[in-house]
Amino acid sequence: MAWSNSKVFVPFIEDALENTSAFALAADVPKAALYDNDITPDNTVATANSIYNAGQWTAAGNEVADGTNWDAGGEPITTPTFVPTTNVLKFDGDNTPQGGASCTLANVFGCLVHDSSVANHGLSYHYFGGSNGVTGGTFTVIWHASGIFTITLT
Amino acid sequence: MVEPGTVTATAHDATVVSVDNIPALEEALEAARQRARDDEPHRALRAAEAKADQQRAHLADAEAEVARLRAELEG
Repeated sequence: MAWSNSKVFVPFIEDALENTSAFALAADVPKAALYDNDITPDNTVATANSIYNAGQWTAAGNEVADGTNWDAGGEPITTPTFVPTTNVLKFDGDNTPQGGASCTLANVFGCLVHDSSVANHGLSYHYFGGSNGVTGGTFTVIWHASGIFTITLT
Repeated sequence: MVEPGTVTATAHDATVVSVDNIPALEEALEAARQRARDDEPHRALRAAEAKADQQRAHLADAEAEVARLRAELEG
């Protein structure tokens, strides 16, 4: 039971295409909520279990937060953009820093990116490659050079 | 006939930049500042000693010159 990779949620794509949920990625407020290694992320779950504080993403015992320095529920990803470049649609945003001045976090293995404007539905989850922590310092999630996620049409 | 297309959705791994123990870093910085402040009087003493050495050297030169001139007059 552990993190091993990063994935886009299947129900996110399905709900967007079926208009079950009205995602507006460039206008919504996506958030990055941090998690320990007690969970096993799965992108094939039903919508209900892709949501923050549901299923594997249950906050109690799994989420890592530090008051207002890294809020439970996640810090907002600012400047969200959803841009197509030829056949690749890229969702990206600014790197996500802590909300407060001095952060203490331990055993952070990855984050859930969820859309706080759409009932906290999960968009994707991202592995940090191992354990991360900080004591009375700064903590910033650096998104991949290729973006938070891409959809490639070939 | 419509050829099938492929859609690939990829979430990318993220990394984290974290800085540990800002209070410890600040303590270390303050300690360095304190050492610099503590060193200030020593620096002033060293400067005064250098100036005194220089003036002693000048005095020795002047005394030597006086001795030389006296020797010439008496000689």
